[in-house]
Amino acid sequence: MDGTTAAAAPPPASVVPASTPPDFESYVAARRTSLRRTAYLLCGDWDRAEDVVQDALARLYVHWRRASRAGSVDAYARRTVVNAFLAEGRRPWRRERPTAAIPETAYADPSGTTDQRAALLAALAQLGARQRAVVVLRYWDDLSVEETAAVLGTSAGTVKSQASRGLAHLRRVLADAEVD
Amino acid sequence: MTDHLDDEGRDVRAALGGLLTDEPTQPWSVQDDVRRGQALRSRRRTRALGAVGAVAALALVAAVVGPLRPGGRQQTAAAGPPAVQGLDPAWLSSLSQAFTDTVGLAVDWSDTSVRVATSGAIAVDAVLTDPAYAVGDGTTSAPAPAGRALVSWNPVGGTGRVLAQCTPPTCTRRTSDFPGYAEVDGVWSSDGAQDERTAVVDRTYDGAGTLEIAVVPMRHSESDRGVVSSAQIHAILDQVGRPPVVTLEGLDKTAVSAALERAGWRVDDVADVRSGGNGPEVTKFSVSKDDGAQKAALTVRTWDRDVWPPGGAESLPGSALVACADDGACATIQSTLVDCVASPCWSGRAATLTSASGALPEGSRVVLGYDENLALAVELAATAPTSGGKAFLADADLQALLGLLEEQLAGSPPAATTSPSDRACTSGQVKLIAEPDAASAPASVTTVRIRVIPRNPEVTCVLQGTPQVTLLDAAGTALGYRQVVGSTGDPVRLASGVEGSFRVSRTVCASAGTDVATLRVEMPGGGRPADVSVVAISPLVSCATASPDNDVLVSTFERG
Repeated sequence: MDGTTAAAAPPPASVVPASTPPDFESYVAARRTSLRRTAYLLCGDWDRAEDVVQDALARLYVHWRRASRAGSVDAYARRTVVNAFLAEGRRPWRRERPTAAIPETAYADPSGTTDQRAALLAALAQLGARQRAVVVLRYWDDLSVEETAAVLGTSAGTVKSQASRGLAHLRRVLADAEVD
Repeated sequence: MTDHLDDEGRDVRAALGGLLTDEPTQPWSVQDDVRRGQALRSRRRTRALGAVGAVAALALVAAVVGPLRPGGRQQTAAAGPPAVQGLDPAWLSSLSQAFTDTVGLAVDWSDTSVRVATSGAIAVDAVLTDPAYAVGDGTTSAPAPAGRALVSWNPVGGTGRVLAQCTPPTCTRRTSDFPGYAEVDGVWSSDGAQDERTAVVDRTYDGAGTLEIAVVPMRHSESDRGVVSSAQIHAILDQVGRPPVVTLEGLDKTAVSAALERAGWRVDDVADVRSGGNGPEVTKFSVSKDDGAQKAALTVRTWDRDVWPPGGAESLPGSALVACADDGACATIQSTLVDCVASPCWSGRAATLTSASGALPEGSRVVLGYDENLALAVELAATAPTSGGKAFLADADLQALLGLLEEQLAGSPPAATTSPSDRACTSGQVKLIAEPDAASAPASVTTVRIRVIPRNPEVTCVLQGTPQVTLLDAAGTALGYRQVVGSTGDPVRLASGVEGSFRVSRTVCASAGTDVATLRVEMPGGGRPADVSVVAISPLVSCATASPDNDVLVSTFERG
């Protein structure tokens, strides 16, 4: 799996020392971009990602004192983003419908980069919402199995199995895209 | 942040990063986020004030009307408790209310599990949080909980189950002390986050019933909440009172237990487990061999069809693996489940675990039965090693058990004044298998034969009339067609060794159509519709809706 094309920087390590809870504004200034990227990988759409992050940050603002006092602002913010994404997907007008067919690309890209990108986006879209969340949290946000399980409120075993299946699916789709 | 990824994981991460190349500029400033947060907080306060106003108004009404009605406690605003078969939800609500009244915390039912047993025992593993975060307004972003409360009711005496939470070197009480520790507080003094400052209080009732509450603060919230004192737990016990009698209905556990016993097992315990939120429904039969050498847990799980689409196992939640604590063993069981979907796995499959360190020791075996018709999986797992790879359950015995369980879980047959043997077969009583119809005559007609097989030898019911059939495509979408019903035939009485069948036929489409992936069959006797996959034989095509040849003939039942 080759994703070397102008890849965005991975999410930085937490900028918030656990011992000194930051204020909301400095936290958002430092982490908003990272949260939005996570949301985009979950949603596959920048506008929806923006909605999700706005929703999540508003909730974080309300619960700020408690979250910062617990020393788990990042974990809380990430969980809120994922929950906002899952909740948004349950709204009738945005309910996702998994599709077996990868949408056709409108044009050919001689380098194959765009095709592969489209294939990866489509492959992510084919995953169920929670499975996609597992893949993104595990492989983009670099959370451990246990941390991912905590964010999703599920067991480590489920995270492992979902990550394994999700990865296998991505691998399969990307292999097909390379063959084509 | 630690790098938790291997090389492949890092490749995936790089590929995901490649998706962000078209990242637009942030359209909003930090101050915009602050304003949105302020607006949300303002809305919530307004809503809370509105709720207070409504409560005040209700209280005023109650003060006036009160003498006409029995008094009741004010209920908490927390999201409601899960529906647990056999248990009055009012008692669960009162439990949360008692915590709210006493220590200012409410039970967060979305993260709380409730378990009841046929013995009448109730176990509540409650997550305690601030009532403001447990309000059922659709908010799922509750912050870290304030603690856990393990509430254990045993109507026939204590089992010390709560003490399982206590690591032996740090536990000041032993299960063998029971019932000597009734009405005694236990305080742990270890450095462990779970054990430290834990308080356990018991209450014994007439008739030997025992209610125990153990409260464990979460590590990160100790500073602001502290532990619930024993006096407070006593107050909670006073307010909650003796729990109600549990009455389990639905699944005939007695019948299932009898079937297990006929298969040579002793049934030690039967319990329903309902996880909080949208967790799966689970009925667990704990069984052991009469010689005491083998023990096993038979777990019956059902999932909604939505998470288990016809023909695919990608959405399997994997929660059947909760009994497995080891990576290698889990992988083995998981692959068994997945493999099971690809072939007619109704016959049950066995996987030998290879792990020596897992919860299921080496030599243990897990047997899974799976029925796509009913989106039902049955798992039998050993909890003690066996010698020589001895199977827990012969395939034939497993078949009988699966049939009985699935019949029970598919729903009760309709009430009838006729004898049981004269009742119309429900979907739960029969298994449907599609196969090509070798006797299909003209080439212009394609036919699928659906075998209707009793799920177990004890089934005696009648097939009469015509099933209602819906054609579904691979995505599960209903396809348009017109069902033509065949002429009335003689009823077929199913019994041991006697099966029936019906046929679904259609003429070949004049133009291209959509492949039919699944037949959804509703039996005349009722029950949940059963999905029958026809992908493997695939002779059916649904013609365009407007096509004049879009009739599908569904025959009446016939014997054999």
